[in-house]
Amino acid sequence: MVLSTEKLTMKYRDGEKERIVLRDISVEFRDKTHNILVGPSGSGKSTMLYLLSTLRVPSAGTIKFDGEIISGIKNTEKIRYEKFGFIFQQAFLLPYLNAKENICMAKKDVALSSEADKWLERFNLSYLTNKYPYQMSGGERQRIAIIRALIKKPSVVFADEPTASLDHDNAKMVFDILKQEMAEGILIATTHDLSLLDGNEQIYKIEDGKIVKS
Amino acid sequence: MLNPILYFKRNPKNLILIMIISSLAVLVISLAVAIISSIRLSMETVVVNQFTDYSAVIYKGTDEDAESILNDTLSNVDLHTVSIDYANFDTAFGTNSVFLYAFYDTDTMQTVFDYSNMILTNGRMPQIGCSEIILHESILKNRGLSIGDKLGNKEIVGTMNGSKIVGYSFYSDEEKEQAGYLAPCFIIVSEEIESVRAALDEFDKEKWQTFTYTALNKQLEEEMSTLNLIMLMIVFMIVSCLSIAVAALIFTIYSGRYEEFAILNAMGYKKRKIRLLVISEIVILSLSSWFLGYSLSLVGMSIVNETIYKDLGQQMPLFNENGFFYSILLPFLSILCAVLPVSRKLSKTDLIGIIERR
Repeated sequence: MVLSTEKLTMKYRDGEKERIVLRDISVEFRDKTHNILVGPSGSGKSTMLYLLSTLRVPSAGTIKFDGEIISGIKNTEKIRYEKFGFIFQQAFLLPYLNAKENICMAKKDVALSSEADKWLERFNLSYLTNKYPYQMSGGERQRIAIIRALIKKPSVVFADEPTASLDHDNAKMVFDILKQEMAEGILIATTHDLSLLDGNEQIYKIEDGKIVKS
Repeated sequence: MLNPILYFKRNPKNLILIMIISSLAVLVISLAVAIISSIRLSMETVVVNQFTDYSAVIYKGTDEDAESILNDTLSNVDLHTVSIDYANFDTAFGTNSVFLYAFYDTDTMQTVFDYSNMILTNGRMPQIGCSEIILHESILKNRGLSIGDKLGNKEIVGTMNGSKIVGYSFYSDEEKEQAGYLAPCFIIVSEEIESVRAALDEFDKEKWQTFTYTALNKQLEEEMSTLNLIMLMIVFMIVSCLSIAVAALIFTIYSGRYEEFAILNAMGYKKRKIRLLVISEIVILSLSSWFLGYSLSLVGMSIVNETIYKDLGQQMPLFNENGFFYSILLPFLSILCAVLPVSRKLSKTDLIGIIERR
């Protein structure tokens, strides 16, 4: 399983000017790897995640997943629904659904309900099962969002600063679980907190529109 | 997991707000149409339906033997003519219009009474020279009168029931002069009622004043068509305004839900599926509101019918085709006015941009 890019470029029109965020990036992310994108704010880390996960269409270049082009095609929802999981900086839970229902939104699958209970227990969040987002703290909401991304057992998880709203202990726990759950798949995450890493990750530095593996 | 009932079930404030506005609108429209329809029904009952079994004609010409002229004119029809003293609408001594018949003698009164399939429910028939009257029960109810009371200078001596809302009496010469009708009046009974009606409707209106079911029904239709047109215009204006108001409310509610649609789209739910969810929600909400409003209007009409109309000897049609049609226009227009902009905005909005900006 490989997620790769070839001469990936992303430009934005900023008024009269054209701003190139990512330029001719060719990179490969293989299964059983945990990949961390680092770089200063505005360097294009999030943009890279949005492109890789098909949420955005690149200005030029291609993205392939298992040899098939997935960029610039129709029906990118299918691959996101079946293969990808996304964790955003904010939890983005549906406000009128309780924790368990939010988790079950990940996929239409009857088995997901009992699976959700197990995940909640694993994250020590069973007490939130019937609670609504407004009844949870920011950290609790983010952990529910993480379960929602992981429960459908995606091949690739994209995590954009997933632990930004958590304290260090919880962030460490979440990162460990992320890595544990994605032991067989591909994890691509951005973070500023390098103390969460254990040295087994592939680190990619994005700077001036270029990506450098360090 | 996408459930079109869940959002409004979990957001009862929004649900109640839309349901109250929509169902009240349906209620108002249904009741307004029912009230206007009841006017038509009352007119039909009082004016037209009494001529289902016979026709009446008043001779306004100068020839003395009007009955012979009438029989000659209708010679090709097998008929029985009953000559009576007076038959016309009367303002019934300053109150609502009622069709009053005045007779020369008690036998003729009894004959017309029998032709009309009326039933004496209370009291007795009037007597000649006694200034008495017998009225249909509903007329008494309508005016809050009972036997023994006076209607004008006539004493009510009996009540009758049947399909014809009429009053029978004997008029003195003085009363006839006041009423302005001294011309001979005939009630025509025939097995060939259609032929009689057709012939009477062709009579010279200068000499004859005719009362047939077909002509009166046509006249009523013409008079009601203006009222119906006005009603239609008012209803359309109300329906359009309320539909836009309801749609605007729905649009406002959905404007606050784009982050939700964005995350669904990011998770892999197609925009088409999200749009279908939105449409299903709006359709279910609008039709439920209509059902509630229409049910309330039926209950409201039953109450109005029982407490007001029946006491007045009138009736309100509980189910009315126009009321149903006009009321159901509201949810359909609301759905159209709400679904189009919400759906268009959903198509045009960069949902992922909403997540990026946060």
